[in-house]
Amino acid sequence: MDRERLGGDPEELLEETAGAVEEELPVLPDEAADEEAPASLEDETVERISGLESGVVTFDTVAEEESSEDTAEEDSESSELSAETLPYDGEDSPAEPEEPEEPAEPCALCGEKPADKSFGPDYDLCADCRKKLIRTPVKFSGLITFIVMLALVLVGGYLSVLGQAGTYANVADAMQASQDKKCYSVINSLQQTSGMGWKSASLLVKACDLSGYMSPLQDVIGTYFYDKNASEDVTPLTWEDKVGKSDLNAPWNKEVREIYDSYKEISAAYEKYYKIFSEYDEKLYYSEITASDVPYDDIYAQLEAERTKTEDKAELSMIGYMENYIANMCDRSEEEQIAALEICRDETPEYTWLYLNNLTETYILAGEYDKAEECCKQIEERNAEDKFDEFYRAKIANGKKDYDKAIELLEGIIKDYEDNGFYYAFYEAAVNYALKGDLEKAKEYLTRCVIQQEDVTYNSVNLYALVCKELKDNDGYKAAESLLNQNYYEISPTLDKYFKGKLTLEEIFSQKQPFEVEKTVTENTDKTQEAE
Amino acid sequence: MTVIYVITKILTFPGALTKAFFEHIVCKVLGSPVDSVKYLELDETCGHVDHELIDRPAASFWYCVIPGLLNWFLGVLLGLLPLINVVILGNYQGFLARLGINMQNTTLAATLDFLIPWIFVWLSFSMFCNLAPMYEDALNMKEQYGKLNGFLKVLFAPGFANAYIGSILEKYGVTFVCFAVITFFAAIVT
Repeated sequence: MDRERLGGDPEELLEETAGAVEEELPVLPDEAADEEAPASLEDETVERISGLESGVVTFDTVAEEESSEDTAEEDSESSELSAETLPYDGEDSPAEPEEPEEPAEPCALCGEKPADKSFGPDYDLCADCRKKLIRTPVKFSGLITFIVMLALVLVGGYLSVLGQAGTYANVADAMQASQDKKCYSVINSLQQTSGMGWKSASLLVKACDLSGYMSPLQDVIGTYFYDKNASEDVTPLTWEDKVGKSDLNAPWNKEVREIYDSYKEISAAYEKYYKIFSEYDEKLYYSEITASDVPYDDIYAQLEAERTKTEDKAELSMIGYMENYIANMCDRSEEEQIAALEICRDETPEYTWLYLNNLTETYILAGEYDKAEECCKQIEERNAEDKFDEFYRAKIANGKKDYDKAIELLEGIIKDYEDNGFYYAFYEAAVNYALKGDLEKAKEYLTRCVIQQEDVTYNSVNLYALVCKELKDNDGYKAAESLLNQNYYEISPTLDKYFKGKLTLEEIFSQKQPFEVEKTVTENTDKTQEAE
Repeated sequence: MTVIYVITKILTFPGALTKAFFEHIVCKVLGSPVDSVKYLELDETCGHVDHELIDRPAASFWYCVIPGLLNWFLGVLLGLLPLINVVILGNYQGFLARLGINMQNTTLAATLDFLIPWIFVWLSFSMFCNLAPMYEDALNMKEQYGKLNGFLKVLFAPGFANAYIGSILEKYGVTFVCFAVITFFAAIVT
């Protein structure tokens, strides 16, 4: 009998076997022959049937006979079957077998202990193996990766936060100031910062552009940006430059690039056109010549000739600027100066740093207060920290003889002097107090200018001398005189005219240059000037 | 799809390893037997631990959420350096010097300084690409989620949705693509 059949359902097997017996029984040989005959399928069946007739049949016999031929594994299956005993009641069909008690399923892992069914009927692990799996140690690769990541977090944290706390504080201040359009604060914060990166540097560049304070621009561009399209005369770029800096030609640096290009164009144009009259400018500076010695018309004609040669806006703008410069130098009318500056404004309105302050001041001198006020608004919008808008408004008020308003505006600037450092306000406040008749207060501010040396100019020292003489302060007067002499100047003849009653204070300050300049001309002075 | 999944895991192996490590730790804490401790098996269990499914609702939720959360924290912390230096400041200089490493070869130093933030970008990226649980765990969590009471369902809903959707996206490598695109554009813009 084959293994499959033995391994089948015992009930089916019994039915099949019973059928076979009914067919075979009539032709059975006698018992003797039967004993001698070799064991065959039929014999086995008969044997089993006889067993069935006796009431109980087991598969033990069959299994034992087959065992010598089968593998050990099959043996175990057979032994499982042999454990089942099939009762037979001697009638046609066998009785239902009794439900045997199921043996405990062994652990799928160790195969020894029974599976712990407390975790569910299908659970196939024993409690020990389960504990063992829970306690499986973590993989070294995972642990080491985690440790490395933690170490990198610490390194990154140090590089990002602890090592750069000062930089972040300054950059944060600059960002806030930039939002508030406080250009000077942006510049102050970022100029003290090292390793701030090109983004912060671009903030600095924009602040420089808006405020007109262009001195740091070249350094900032050189430190944080590179220009691969720069001409060959520039130092060749190294790999360090390329990896450590930002490309000026990248789209996100467009604004910085434009500011830098404008600055370069304007600088080049300045060099080009200043040459036309630089000789006279230097001589005038050292008082070697007077304004009347400058050939204004020739210079102006040369500049106009240059205007026809170019269409470059920066150059046209610079020609306008230069025309204003020489007009101012040669004491030409405000109208001429304004015309020149308006050319500058029309050609390059974005270069407010080039023309706006000059234009505002010239409008005030020309008495065009409405236009000056418009310029003040522009200055205010450009840089919230720029005190020139308030300063020029004070000058407008002064021009309108509203000294109280002028003083109020100037006092506002002086109040925050520690922050803004706007020293021009002292002299202007003193002028307004003097015009108002409050010489004590005027002297107080002039002391800041002259004695504390906040704003030592020919005008401030002469006004200080005038006020001291009016207040009978001889020491103050002598100090002013001494200060002028040290710088090869004399007390202005304007003071003499004032004390002789030929001039009033209002008349003095209605002039573009209030105090007529008187220089000490000696052999020594000339030599000193030459040496300088 | 398994190939794509495995490739994404290999490309972001630091995150895959830490995620599997965290899963293993959570398995230990929750008392769930671990069948296989190969963290980078080249099949759908890559970057995860093969473990017995958890039949407790809260435990299955925590198993799916906590390892991802820990990876997320690591990703954020690792991302601080490039975020602050590259995105905010635009600074690629001085990292080695700040660590006290002064190299004679300035070109090499500059190159390393440039690479340092980008290595941190990749590490951070690898953490963010390995936030979601294995899909089978997410399915199990979904099944267990149904057993929660109404209040807990609402409480756990964001974490559940995040982990479940994340597991589906991660299964098809979508999270990898998304974070790669985000990182690429961030790199371009910054």
